[in-house]
Amino acid sequence: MTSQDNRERFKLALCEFLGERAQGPDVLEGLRISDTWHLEEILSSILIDDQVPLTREKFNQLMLHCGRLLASRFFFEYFFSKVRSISDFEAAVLRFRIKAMWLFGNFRTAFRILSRLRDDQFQSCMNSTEPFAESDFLLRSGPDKHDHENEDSGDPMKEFEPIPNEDLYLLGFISGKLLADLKFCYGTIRELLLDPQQVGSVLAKLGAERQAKVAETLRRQGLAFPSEGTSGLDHGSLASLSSALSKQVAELEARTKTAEEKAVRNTKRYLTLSRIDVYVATSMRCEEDYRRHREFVDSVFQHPKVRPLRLRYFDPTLSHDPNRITKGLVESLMLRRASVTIYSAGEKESLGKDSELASTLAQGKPVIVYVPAGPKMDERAQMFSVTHPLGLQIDSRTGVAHGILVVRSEDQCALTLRKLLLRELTFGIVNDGQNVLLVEEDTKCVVRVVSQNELLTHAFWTFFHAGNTGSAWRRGSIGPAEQDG
Amino acid sequence: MTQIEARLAHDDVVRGQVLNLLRKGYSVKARLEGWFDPPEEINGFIPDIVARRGTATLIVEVKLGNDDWPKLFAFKRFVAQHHRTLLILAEALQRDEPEAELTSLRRFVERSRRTKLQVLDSTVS
Repeated sequence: MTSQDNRERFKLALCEFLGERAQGPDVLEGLRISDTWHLEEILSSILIDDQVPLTREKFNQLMLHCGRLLASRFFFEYFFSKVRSISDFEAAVLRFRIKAMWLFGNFRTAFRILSRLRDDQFQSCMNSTEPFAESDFLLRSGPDKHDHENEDSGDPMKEFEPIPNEDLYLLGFISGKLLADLKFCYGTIRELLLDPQQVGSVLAKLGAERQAKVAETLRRQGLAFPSEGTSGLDHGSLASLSSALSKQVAELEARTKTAEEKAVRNTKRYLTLSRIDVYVATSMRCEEDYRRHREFVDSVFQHPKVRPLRLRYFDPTLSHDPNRITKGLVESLMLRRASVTIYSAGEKESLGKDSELASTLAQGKPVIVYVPAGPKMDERAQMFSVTHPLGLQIDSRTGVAHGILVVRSEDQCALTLRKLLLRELTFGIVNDGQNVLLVEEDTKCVVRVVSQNELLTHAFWTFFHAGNTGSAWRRGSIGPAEQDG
Repeated sequence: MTQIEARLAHDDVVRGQVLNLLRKGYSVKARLEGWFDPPEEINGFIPDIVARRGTATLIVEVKLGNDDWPKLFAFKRFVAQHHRTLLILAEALQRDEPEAELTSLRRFVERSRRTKLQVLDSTVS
């Protein structure tokens, strides 16, 4: 590689560091504020054959040439003090860009802020991106994780009352209507039994639609009832129907009551927990959904790589309140408290679950989307990770666009959760021509973006910081964006 | 009675009243999700059942707890302002309460064996 090639590599990396698009053969042409000879002079002192003896003084001279602020000692030491070659410089720039995208969603602002932080502020900011050991995670997550009594007992969820898998569906707002429906059917049959001569008249008053629903509900329980007309509804058949249904209702009511009481107590326990690590978002439509969900939750949280982290998770299927608004508010609070959301995808999604995904991203927290393997679900996985324009949502406090991590197996979900919490995820940067993408290497998912659309970028940051756009116009405060691309 | 048992008993009474009113030829709106349209709000509260037959309207509220009174007060105000409207308070009885508790309101709901009914207000002459 010639010295000219090395110079081009250095300039391209410098452009990337500064968050600028390299345009034309002289990639720094649009950037430098000094004369060409002056910039070349400093570059010549930095690039000596294959070596890059970069000092803070020289680095800051480069920043001055490019119209940028000077970097603090801490900044330089953290990113560039070990640079000895072009490859080292490129690696240092990549490291900076990954952290800049993760923390700030753009490069220029990242440098502007990071280069001026005090030592303790800078360390704290960088520490938030560094991996830590399992023992440190347990310490940082709260004293209760290191409570010896808890460690001995082993299960961080031990205070929660388990609900039998086969009864979980009785708690669902959509799927748990069975008891109410059966009771209505039972009431209808008792009405008909009052005067079997008037069956036709009573059913007419009930209405064709409701009669069909009674028939369908009973059919699912293995009981025959005409969906229209009165065929077969004599006193004997009604009495035997009533007797069979009475037993089913009594048994279901007892199970529902027990499950609800446990789940209501669990809700109260969730409300007073000192910490919640993970929110598991799910939507349930039938008994089978509950069984699959429970298997999935057990498989992730009992995974040998996750169990040692002693995570407390909010599982909506273990919690209940008969009032949908109360339950919704409880779930919103749990979502707010958890550090990460796991979204378990089905063939169809629900408004609630999608809202939980969007709300987590808007709070600047990560979402792992589990899409079970299988040809039917490949399209859904593709939709989540590639095609859906709202697969990225902005953090409402910082404006940074956050993407989701799509996993295709329970094992991958557990490993991704562990890496996420221990900050062991690794990233690469891809330029798709219109955006710079921060891509998580295992899942190949885009987790941050920097748009290269200059108008969008300028308008975005201008209005994002202005808050209410109308008032910004009225105040006439539309000016240079506080944060730029 | 736990909160859950109270709610189940409440819903049982609503279902019983609804079926009885249907039998009597009323058109019914009730808080029985999936089976009936819910009643419209009355002075800021939604009753358990509103049943209509001809020009007569029945508002049936099933007692759930002791904090029902603002709701009942709102319904009473409504009844006072509308002709041929009756407000009925239904209450799930404990199993050991005597059936004699049932009053002459049997003509409205004769078959509600575990239900105590009380007409709170009426503009029905």
